[in-house]
Amino acid sequence: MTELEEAEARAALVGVTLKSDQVAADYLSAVRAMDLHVGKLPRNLPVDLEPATKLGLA
Amino acid sequence: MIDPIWIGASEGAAALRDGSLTSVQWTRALLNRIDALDAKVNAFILPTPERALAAADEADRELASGQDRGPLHGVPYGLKDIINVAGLPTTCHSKIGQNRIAASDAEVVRQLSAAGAVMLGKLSTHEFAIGGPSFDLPWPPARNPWDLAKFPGGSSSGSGAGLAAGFFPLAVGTDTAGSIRNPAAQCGIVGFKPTYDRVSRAGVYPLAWSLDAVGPMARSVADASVMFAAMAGEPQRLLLAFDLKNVKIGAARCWHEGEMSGDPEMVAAFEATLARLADAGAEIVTVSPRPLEYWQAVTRVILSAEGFAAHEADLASRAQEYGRLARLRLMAGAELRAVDYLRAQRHRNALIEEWRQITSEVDFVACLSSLDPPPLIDDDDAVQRGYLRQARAPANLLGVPAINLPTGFAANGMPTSMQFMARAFSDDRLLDFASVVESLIDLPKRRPPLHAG
Repeated sequence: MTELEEAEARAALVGVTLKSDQVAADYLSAVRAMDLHVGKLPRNLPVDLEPATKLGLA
Repeated sequence: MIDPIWIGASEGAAALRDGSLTSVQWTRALLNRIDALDAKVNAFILPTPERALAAADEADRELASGQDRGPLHGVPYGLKDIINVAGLPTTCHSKIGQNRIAASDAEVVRQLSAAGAVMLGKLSTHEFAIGGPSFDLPWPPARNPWDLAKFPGGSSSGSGAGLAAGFFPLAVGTDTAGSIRNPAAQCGIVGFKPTYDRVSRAGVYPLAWSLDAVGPMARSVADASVMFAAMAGEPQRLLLAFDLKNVKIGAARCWHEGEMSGDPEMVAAFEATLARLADAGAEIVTVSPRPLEYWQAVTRVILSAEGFAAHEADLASRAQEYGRLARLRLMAGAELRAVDYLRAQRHRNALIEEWRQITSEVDFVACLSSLDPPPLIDDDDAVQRGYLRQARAPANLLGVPAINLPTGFAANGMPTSMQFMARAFSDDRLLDFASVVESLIDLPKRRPPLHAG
């Protein structure tokens, strides 16, 4: 599978249609960059640590 | 003799009442300057001179008849073009939005109209407040009036550039991860991000619902304070005197020392301001929040998930119509899992708790806003690096108020700046304090080197 085919297949799974090679390349670049950010957030959090819901109350 | 180009809102409001200036004269002078110079600055997507002069004329007639709507009555301002005005397109600086005509005013526009403010037009932004500076959009990006080759910051680029260029004394910006304070820092003006939801977001195109804030931009803290009250629909108040002897300031130097070191001139101006505060009686202590890289990872995951959700329908079918930068940044959230978003929100909660501890011991936190001076606008690498080297996103994650203050000028003539953050809902106290800091800094009176032709 080429990179463009991979991009199209992955994008199709989330409902995005890539109509040019440039958009397909951008798609792969974007989601791979996000993987780096996600990887910086440790998973071993205390189970009683809830998601933030009370914004502005810090 | 009043100079209608450079007067602030407060000074102008006084002139409107003592008869030395009319709103029409003020508005016309600014429109003439915009007409002469905006081809260089690109602050405007759409100037609206006829609407502005009609509103100014109405303000003059009301004031003459004794109907006084308060300190913004007859005062011109600019509006970031992701905010709805009935009958005008909300382009979001995008091909996607260029034909979307707003059916009604955003709540913040309604509040400013009720206060008698005069909108001069709609201002350039990064595409959908995220993609810029871009050269592949229907309109060019705004440029920095202090050096037209330089980046003016974003995403409220036209708001910051227009204030520095003398196009208006007030502007509305929005701030998801620093988009009010970044152009304020790069253009040498005041930018205030209020506590989350203190100013309504209704009628403002969302970027990330849990991070977005609407706030004032101005050339002085007093003007930002007046505009903030009007935008929030709250009663006007005078800035209160502030005794610095009772103030403890936490300096977050760790954000610009160590792995990410700040530009020496930015740091020197920051330290000089803290020294003035200490001389005036404030206590300066060191605080050590988590590294900026961690704050930014949490912000990026949340922003990208919410941003993709906000744009999902258009990205699904019209991705090629976005500019490249907006497309790259918005599509980044396409494959994020619910568990990734929730994990980021859990980290956010931990940061909120840590911040609560820090601010239980200090009144304000001081830090750099940008770690670097403005880069060249066409230096993609430097511009993108600047988005990682800033200390603005924490205030959006926390929902707390934060203000960018100019601290002077670097040797190359570009502005330096710093930021103060405060506890949630202490917006008024932060503005009072910032006004005192502003008076201690005593900024040199300089104007950007703009010339017609």
